[in-house]
Amino acid sequence: MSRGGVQGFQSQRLSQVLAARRLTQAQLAGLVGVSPATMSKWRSGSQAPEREALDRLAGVVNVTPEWFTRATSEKVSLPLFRSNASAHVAARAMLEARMEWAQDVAMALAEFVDYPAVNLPVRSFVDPDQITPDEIEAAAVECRELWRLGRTAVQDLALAIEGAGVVMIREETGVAQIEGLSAWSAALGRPLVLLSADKDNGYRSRFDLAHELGHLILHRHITRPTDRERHKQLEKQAHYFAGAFLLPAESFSSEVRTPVTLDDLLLLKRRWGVSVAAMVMRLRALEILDEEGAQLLFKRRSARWGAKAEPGDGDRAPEQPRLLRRSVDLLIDEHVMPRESIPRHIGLAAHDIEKLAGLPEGYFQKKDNVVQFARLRTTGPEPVASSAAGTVVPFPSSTKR
Amino acid sequence: MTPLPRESIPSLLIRDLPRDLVMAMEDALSSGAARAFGAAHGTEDGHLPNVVGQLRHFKMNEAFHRALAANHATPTPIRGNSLITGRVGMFTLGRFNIPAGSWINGRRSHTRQQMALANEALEPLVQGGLFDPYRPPSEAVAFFVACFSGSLQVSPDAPLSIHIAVPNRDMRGWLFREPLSAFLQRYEPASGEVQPDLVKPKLKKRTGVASEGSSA
Repeated sequence: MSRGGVQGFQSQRLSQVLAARRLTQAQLAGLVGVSPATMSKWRSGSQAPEREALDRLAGVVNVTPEWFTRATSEKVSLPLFRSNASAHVAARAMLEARMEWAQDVAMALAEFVDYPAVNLPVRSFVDPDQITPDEIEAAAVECRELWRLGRTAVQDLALAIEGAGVVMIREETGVAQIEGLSAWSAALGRPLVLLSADKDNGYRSRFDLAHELGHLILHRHITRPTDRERHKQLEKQAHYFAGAFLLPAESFSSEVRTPVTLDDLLLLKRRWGVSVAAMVMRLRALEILDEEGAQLLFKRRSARWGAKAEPGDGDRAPEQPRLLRRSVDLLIDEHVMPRESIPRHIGLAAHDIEKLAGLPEGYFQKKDNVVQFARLRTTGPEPVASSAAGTVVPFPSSTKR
Repeated sequence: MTPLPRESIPSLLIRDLPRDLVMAMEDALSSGAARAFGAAHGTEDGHLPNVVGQLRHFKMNEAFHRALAANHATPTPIRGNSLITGRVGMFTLGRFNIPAGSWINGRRSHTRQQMALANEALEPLVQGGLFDPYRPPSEAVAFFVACFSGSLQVSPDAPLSIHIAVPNRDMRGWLFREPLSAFLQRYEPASGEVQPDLVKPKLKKRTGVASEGSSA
């Protein structure tokens, strides 16, 4: 490393930020005003940027200069992606980097808060061939039992999954083809799930979350596959898990009328929070529908509603994460740290933290007292101003929740 | 008046009757009705309703008996016109059919009326007694009641609905009755309850010290 460079510059941070911002080395070099060769040296660690150059670099990628001197935490386990297509290499790298940033945010907050204990069924499969449909059904049932969800429709899967200690991130990624990814973090001792918010469909998002839960439980110790067939097998197993978890055999099948019609399933869609297509797949897995019956329903589905959408797709708001947001709120409410110091503590841009932690845009620019005022107004009906000078305050029992 | 106890008739039923037994009753009474109508095939129209009615009695009793036996509910033997009853927990179980809308058929059997006397002990669960405190009952009776349309023109091979019904002591009223489809929902503990919120990060105890290094 050259003598003039900033001490402690972490070249891995540069690689991470290139992936997260989806920039090439040459593009970033142009934006910072250095040669691609210099950028390459910074990245390889053979040279560190001077103070002014680091400031410019940090400004361009929107992080604090000091962030480049922070050692990277242990990488999360290699995530499984829904799409393994080579066209998505850069997108996958970006999502991995975003997940590492989410890990950084969670770790920075964990200095002050304890998250809920991890409470997931433990499986130690090392080969996908060990995972039979019976094993998947058993894992789904065990997960429901651990979380005390009974056998009815899960009201809010995001609430349940974060209550079991999983860190969830839901953000617009710009890569709609990759619905989500999940990984175990050794540094945090808990898993993370990142869901794409690009498709604003509550049913899809919920199924994606259950799918990632399947990966976390079933595939934790399985080496990431390189060949296509293996990858498909893991995806299929995670899909099977999602169906088994969201639609338990005993309760769901007792509600399904036979012969199955699309309209009966539409009525069940809202109740169970699962799309008609996913219900057909589940009925096929439960052998309530045979191959021909399932195919016929898919055909009618396409004929009536088209290939992608279903009626009622918009009537369920996507479930939102809470854990990181509540942790940030806790630090502010308990005066552990002033609101504006939090981005500095984490080292990332306020905008990035807002997105990763599910905070409203501009959250870190707000003043605390404004937030307090907003909360008071949402806890009950607004006071009714009378025509006289006084204010009518509603009777307390009407605010009961 | 003594306050109503926390127990309720459906909670006692759920405590003693396994879900699978209730589902078995649903299957048994439906398949018994289908068999009865099938067996009446070729009967003269003039007495077809009577034949179907009688066959329902026998075929549904057979199916009821088998379902009780399969679910370890110790059924009484099939013998002539005798009632078939089973026993699970504190409940004695019986069955009968009614035409839809009319809940009077239950009282036509003297034996059923005798059985219902045991339900005196359940009555304080619906209306608190004036003086006596509630004592948990040791005996009670519940019936599976299949409602038919009353006409062979409408659903002759299957009941329109099947209810679980707990009569009062003289079988002139019902302490509890519900279609099985609704009753089965009661076995799902999460239904109707608000999902618990466990997403509650807690502040570590040494936060005061840590905050000084927050801008590191």
